[in-house]
Amino acid sequence: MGRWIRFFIAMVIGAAAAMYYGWKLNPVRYAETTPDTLRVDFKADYVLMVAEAYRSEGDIDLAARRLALISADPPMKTVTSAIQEAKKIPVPESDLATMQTLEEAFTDWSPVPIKASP
Amino acid sequence: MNENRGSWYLLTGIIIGIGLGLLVSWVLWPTRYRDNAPASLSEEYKDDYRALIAAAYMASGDAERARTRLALLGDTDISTALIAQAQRSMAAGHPEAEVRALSLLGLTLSSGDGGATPVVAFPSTVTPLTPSTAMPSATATHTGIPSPVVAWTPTPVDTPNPTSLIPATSISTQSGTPTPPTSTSTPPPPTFTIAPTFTPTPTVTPGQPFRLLQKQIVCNPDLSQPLIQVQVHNASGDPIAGVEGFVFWEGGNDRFITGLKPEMGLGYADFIMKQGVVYTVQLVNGEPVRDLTVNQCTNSSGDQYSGGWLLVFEQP
Repeated sequence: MGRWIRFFIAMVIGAAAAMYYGWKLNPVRYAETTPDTLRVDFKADYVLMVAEAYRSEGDIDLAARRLALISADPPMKTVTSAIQEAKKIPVPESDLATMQTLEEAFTDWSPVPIKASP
Repeated sequence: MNENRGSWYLLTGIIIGIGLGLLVSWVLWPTRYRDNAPASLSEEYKDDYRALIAAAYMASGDAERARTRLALLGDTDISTALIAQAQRSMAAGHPEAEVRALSLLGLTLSSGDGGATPVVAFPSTVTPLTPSTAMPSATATHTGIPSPVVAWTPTPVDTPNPTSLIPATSISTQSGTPTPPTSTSTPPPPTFTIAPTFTPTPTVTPGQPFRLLQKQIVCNPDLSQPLIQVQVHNASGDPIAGVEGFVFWEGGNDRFITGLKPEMGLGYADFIMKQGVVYTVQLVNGEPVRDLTVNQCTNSSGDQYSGGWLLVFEQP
């Protein structure tokens, strides 16, 4: 076996060992993550919190800003997805109703355009 | 000649391979965590998360659900983290409702840890009085106290695991002209009745104005700076946390909320005075207390030092 072949095999072994180390043994840790990377059930609970707060605050724009932290989708789609996720588990009807109230509130909602400075 | 090279080329190959492997696994295609737990959020987003938990608590009144949610953030001391964030938020000029929610939830949860049961001033429709100087707007909406609901907060996990939700198992009245300086020390923080659980039932009567019960000069050499100290309680003598007030002076104003220094009492707040400035203190939904200036006190050695004021308010 030629030197180059053995050299190549050694390199592959080294790369495989390093990738095993980098992906499995000591992978990159994300300690400063953003809300959009939360697990789907945490996102559903986040949406429930937004809905609970909206129930008392009545500020749909504030609710939209809060939802924007967990998804780039339109707020109504975010809430709908969360409701579907919540239905997969035995969630109290009162919680579902709270989220559905927020979903309905977004039906006729449109973002407030930001005025450009002159 | 080739025999003299030995097998070093193999080591060279392995080293190059390791370098390439780490480049791939750490830089080009690192492991992606798409199913993070709230504990992994950056501090900035943790603050947002805490504020939202507090806002949801103000709507539902469910302290246990709030506690379960806060536990997901991995704070060592949940109530301390909340109160510290309330203080930061107030200093940063965040909305009053956010500061109030954070502080009330912090006080509520600290009471659940074996402390006192706080009486909290839940938001009510208030009409700020107009003092002699400009006053920031301070309005809130009455939320009422809804009945508790069953918690279904997700369970925390250490490793990414995109599984479905696991439901938790529920889960002396003295007003007007100040009296001459006296050697009055700051009274000790009031004592409270310990109760096993906290139900956020407002014992204050929304709309009832706070009245000044006591206005007293404080000469306490242990205080490094003269303070306006405010204590608020209800007719039963229970301190009320979360009461907002304002301090006005020529060319400026500031606000305070009772309960942000729980070690001093849940109905306590204070403000540092400066020499030569005349202050007016007014609680939201209360009469203004005017003409508060730094007092001159004398200690036992005959040395003079600066003294402040103690204002005790009561809501009938």
